[in-house]
Amino acid sequence: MMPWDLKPDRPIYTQLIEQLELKICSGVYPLGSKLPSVRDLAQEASVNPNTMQRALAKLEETGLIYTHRTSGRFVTEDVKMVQKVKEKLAYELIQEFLQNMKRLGFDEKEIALIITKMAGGADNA
Amino acid sequence: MLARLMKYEIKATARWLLPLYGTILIFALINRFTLFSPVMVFNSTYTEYSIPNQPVFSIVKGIASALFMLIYVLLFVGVFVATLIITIQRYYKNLLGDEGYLMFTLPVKSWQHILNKLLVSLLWYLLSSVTAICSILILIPNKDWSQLSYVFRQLKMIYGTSGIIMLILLVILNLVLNILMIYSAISLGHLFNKHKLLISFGMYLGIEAVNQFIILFVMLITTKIAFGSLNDISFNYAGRFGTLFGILSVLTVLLSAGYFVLTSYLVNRKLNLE
Amino acid sequence: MHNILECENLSKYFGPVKALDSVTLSIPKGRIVGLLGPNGSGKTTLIKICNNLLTPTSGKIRIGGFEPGIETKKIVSYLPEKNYLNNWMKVSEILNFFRDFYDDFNMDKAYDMLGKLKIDANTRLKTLSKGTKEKVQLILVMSREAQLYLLDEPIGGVDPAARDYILETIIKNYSENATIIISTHLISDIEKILDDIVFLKDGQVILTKTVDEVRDEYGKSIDALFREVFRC
Repeated sequence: MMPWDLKPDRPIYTQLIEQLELKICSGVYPLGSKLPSVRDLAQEASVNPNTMQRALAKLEETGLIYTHRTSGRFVTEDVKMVQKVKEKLAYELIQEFLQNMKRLGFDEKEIALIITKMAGGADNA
Repeated sequence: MLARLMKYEIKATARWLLPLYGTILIFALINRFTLFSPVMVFNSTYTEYSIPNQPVFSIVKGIASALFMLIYVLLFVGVFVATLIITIQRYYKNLLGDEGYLMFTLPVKSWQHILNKLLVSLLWYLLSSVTAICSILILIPNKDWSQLSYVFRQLKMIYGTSGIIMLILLVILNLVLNILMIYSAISLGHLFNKHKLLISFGMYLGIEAVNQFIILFVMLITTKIAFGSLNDISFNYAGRFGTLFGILSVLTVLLSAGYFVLTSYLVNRKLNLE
Repeated sequence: MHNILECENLSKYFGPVKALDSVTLSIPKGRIVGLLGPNGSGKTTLIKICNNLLTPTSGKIRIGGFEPGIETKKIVSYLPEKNYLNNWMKVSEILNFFRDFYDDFNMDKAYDMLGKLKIDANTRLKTLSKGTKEKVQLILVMSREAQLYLLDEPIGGVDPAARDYILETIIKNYSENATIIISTHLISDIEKILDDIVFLKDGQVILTKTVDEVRDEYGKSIDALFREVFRC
């Protein structure tokens, strides 16, 4: 179970959107699967149901999830869309990583070297 | 709603008073035997029961019966003292203490709380009196009851049956008035931040004084009317006392109503639980 | 009717002391609201007025359209900071008491919560620890299907596990028809479950926003903002 990681200084509902995207991309909520109810999700995340509702509504606008009139909310079956979101998230992660590394004093070449070494090392292990 | 309040009020108070009633009745029974029945011991010499002669025995018996009588008397007084304490405590603790947070958020009108406490207190006073009387009847052996009934016949002659009924009624009305005076005093004391109990006590004395003044004033006027000149004492008591009791009753009812309204107002608009 | 609670220029004086100063507030149904402020800011006074335990000096207050009285007491469920339970009853008896006086009391829910918190209904209230008594009080309050819940420091004296359970219960009990107003100091614990917050200072409302508005506009949590605003 992937815990909900909510930071205190950013709006909760934007973080919920990100967390939901993360869970969909990583397969916690697989393609085409039914999402838990708003109430259950809110309980899991320990947040206000209204806030969770807002986040879900926003996600629906993007099309990542959709509402079936009587049976609830479902994850999209559009593989390409999920792939795009995955890439977006990856991009954001890498941005953050690069920023942090630069703060440590590494330049781009050094960063690339380290990554190759570590990624290569992971393969050998 | 009032009935529900009373149900719980009785439950809360019965656990203290019923055992007390039981105890006093038991001690009445014990005293009946220690006082009025001679202690019999099986005397092997004469193969029969007889009263022993040894002085040690009578001393022990003497001490024992004195002790039991003392306990009984204490219980007799205690029953009424306990009823008074419970009257005060239930109002003070259950309505104006922490439990007030529970009671005053119930969907019930404030005056229903006061009426509830009043009626249940009254009930216990009546039951205490009945128990006390029963304990006396248990205490006194049957053969002595004729002496009691003699006293009653005398009373009946002086006051008439209706007079006795009015007397009892007046006692009950006075009881109601006194209970409401206590509630008013406690509520008034509650208006202050410190020394609430002390101020309540002071308020009670003040209220008592005010009452006495009012009653005295009314009585002076009405006795003049009812009995004419205060020198003329050769008349039929029963009739005149009827008027007297009537006036006193009405006065007591009016005063009671006044204190009920005062207490209701205080508890409705001036409530300030800590 | 959209708003469950409406205050208009509500003021309360205790002699010369001004506890509430022209408070104007509108709280809709279906919200979880945090009433936040330091001691003496007027939180408890406001809550007591909502419960008809205090009468306002001036101004108007309406709950569900009614002035505080019997009609509002039927739809308001109040958890005071104090322990208001008597000593002589058993847990089961106080449950019956609530059922006798409140039509909206849900007995099944109460017993369910008692079970989850491992409280034996047969124990006398007198023998319970302080923390357990608080849990019982919370169960009594949350087992009512009220329209307005007023919780005064609901998680103050309980252990962290019970705290989580209480917050969980609040979320679970959420309904679009009910509003929960929570007055507390432990802001960081409850921040995520709040919709709106009201900051109260010296009897006046100095801020009303949603939690996300605050985080968005000020870039910090409610807890952090509180510390800043009410710095000693």
